[in-house]
Amino acid sequence: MKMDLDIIGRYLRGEASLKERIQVMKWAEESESDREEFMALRRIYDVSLMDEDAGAVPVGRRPGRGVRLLKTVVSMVAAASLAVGVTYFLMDDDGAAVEDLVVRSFIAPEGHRTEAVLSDGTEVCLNSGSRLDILSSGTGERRVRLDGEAYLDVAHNEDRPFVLETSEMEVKVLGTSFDVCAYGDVHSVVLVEGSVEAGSLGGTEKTRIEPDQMYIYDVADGRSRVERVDAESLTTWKDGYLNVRNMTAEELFTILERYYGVEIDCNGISDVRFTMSGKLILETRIDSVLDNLTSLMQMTYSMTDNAHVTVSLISGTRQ
Amino acid sequence: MLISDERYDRYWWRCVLFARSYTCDQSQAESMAAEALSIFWQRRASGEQIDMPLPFLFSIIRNKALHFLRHESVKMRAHGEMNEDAVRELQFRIDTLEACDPHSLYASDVRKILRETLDSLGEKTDRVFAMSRFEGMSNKDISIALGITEKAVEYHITKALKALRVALKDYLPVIVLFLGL
Repeated sequence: MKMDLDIIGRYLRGEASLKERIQVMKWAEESESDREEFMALRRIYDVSLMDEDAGAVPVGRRPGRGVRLLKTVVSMVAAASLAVGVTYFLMDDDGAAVEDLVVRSFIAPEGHRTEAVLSDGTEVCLNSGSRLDILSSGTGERRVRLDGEAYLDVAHNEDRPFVLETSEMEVKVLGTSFDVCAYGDVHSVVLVEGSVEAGSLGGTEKTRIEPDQMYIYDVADGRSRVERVDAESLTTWKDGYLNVRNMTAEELFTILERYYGVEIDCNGISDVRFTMSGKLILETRIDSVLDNLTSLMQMTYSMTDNAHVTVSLISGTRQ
Repeated sequence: MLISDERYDRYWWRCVLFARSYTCDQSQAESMAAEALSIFWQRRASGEQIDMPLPFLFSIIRNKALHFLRHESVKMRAHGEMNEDAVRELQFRIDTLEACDPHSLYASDVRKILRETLDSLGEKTDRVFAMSRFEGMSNKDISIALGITEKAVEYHITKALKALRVALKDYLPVIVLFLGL
């Protein structure tokens, strides 16, 4: 019997439906030679995952990053435009006007992170529910606009300063790693390494901050301040987990609210401080995260629909 | 430092793909990959020398995935799953995973021959094959990304698979036997 290679491909990638998986199993059980064929393909797949010299890097420098970008941006059109879009800055450089699809926006859907490598080598990790627009108009300056939260590792280029703007704030960069958070009334920058200058959007005054400092801009009164922080623990979301360390329930659930785009009512316990510390894996679904939390603490939750969660302590455990 | 280490990126996706290949569950696969990497870093932080990270990581994932699949199997039986094929299919994955030994696969000549074969087929075939293997991209996506026809994508994948089967024909049955199948 001949087996469709497409189905086997999906089977090996763990993407086949139950029906297809049963089909593959039955095929493999049909005869000794079919079984051998299946096992050979199975081992080729396994061993190829351990092949460290694999050549394909569709986008950017690191296989993993480009891959995950393609997986999260998902649509076919996105895949098509990416190949072109990432060369955007470069095209501006040599002035060749290529009329083609160009990616100007990256979006991370709720519950997902999106990673992208821009053609200048700058790496971007977009937090769930965030959006990044590329505004650069070829004037030499690299300019992007952020709504939500992003971690950027900007490729150094003295001739082309990198400027990130939010609706209220502007961050000027030479080459560095930093995290920008632009939600609601407070926009902030956390610097991991290098140096950046931040200030209000369109304003002339800029404040230079150092690694492990956070620049906080208050939209309401237009005032800013600088605080000392642990930059590393504030940016773990990009690696898929949160460092829960001496956090109040309110702080934690506010982060989860943003990440998953849900409303979490934790009124009853908002001032409870988590005495535990550790990593909270940001799973694809909010209920998996809440399940993990309930196994760690005396907490229950209920979801009325997909967008509303109520969290409470199991009665009697409040201290 | 865990976060900025390049190896984290290099290994992450491979671990997820390996776990997903047997568990068929994306979020389980991501958790297993994260746990395996965290064990890896802890062991290294405590001064242990791990010469072969990938087989080390894959072995951890193999055990985690086996644990998970066996648990699923117990659940399925307990719930009185009527679909006998579904029960058998799960058992089939457990059996093939039990027979998979990352360390001996890694150490075998198979990996070397795989690389040599792919190198000999030219850059394009190597690239198409890797895109379909690692990225899990559909033929259509690959054709768009590389600006070639879908037929051409199929051609490259089939070419790579055929060449690999020929190049590895003396090796894979040996492994299968060696692994007790």
